[in-house]
Amino acid sequence: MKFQDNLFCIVIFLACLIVGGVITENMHIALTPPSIKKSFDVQKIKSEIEGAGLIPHDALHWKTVDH
Amino acid sequence: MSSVVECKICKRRCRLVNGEHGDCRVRVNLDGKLFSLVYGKPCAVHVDPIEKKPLFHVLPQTNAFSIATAGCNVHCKFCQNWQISQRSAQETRNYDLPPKRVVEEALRSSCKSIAYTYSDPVIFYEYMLDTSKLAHEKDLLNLMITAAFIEEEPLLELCPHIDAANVDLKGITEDYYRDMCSAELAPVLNAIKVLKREGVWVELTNLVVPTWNDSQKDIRELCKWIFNETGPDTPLHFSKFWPQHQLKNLPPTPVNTLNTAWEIARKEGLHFVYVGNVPGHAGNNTYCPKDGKVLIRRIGYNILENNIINGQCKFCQTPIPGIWT
Repeated sequence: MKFQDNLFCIVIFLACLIVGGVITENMHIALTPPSIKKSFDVQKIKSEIEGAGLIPHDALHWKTVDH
Repeated sequence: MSSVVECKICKRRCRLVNGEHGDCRVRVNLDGKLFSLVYGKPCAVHVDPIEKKPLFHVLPQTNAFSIATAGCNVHCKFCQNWQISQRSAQETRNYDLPPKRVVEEALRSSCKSIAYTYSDPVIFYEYMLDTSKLAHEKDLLNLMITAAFIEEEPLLELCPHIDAANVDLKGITEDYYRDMCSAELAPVLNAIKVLKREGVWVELTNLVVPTWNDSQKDIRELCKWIFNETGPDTPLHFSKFWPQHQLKNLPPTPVNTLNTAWEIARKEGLHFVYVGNVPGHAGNNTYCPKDGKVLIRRIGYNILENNIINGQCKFCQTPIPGIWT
């Protein structure tokens, strides 16, 4: 094959890799529940609550959600 | 991995991962359990005349021991209590006042009632619930001053312990609730009907905001809903808007607008219509729906004349709805 044909194949291959990566990442984002994407430093949150003199009290009317 | 929790107090149904606070800022998921951060921790404690709530048909000329915590589950652009309602409890200075002490302080202050008010008691639900039970043991009334953005199930559990409520019926369209308050109208309307059905005395307040909800059409529709769904005896308070929070660009509500609202409400058949924040206005007074005589003459929060005897008009003995003793 001529050099230009080889170059064309390489460019197409790289383009497919990039597009495939973008599609994969977008699917992962779309299928991952929103709550899982967030994360908090729980120990820091607890320290802030305690530092403010607050005492967590059992709440009513809530449920656990499966994820 | 700790569980995700869903709060079921209001329609937002916040789903919270470990360490996350709800939209109201005062409920948090810690290690897969939901906690309230404001139980026994009010940031506002005052003794107020009951007329300030406003409640005009409940124990006139008595004082209400009034408490509120930080946080709120609505976010009104006009909020006059935004310094506490749009804050987390970590950002406010809080008192240590467990339910038993609330009742003790209310009695010590010679109050006849406890008002859960200022921010919104929906978000300090557990604190209000426990305090209200103790209050009843000491013959104190419980008053809930609220936007009523609450789910039916928690409201039904609360109703037996609440004697009277003033509900902010802020507008009569979903658009208004969404754009002004980041909330929804339908749950509020349902909550008003539930409160009435469960025997809680209800008075409604509508803050009239220039250019937002002050059209005659909106006011008429609001009054029609109140008449049809709650009856002509539900008191309605029209309140004057003062520039606040995110609406400092607007002028105060013109008195003429409030006059018009007052006239519309009475033409739509409501018996007890009031104009608030305008001292000296005829709408400060309570009138007998039968003979039109002045039953209670007020100036500001003070009562100058009271012609309700044993819950009836002194002149024609028409029963006047309310909690008078």
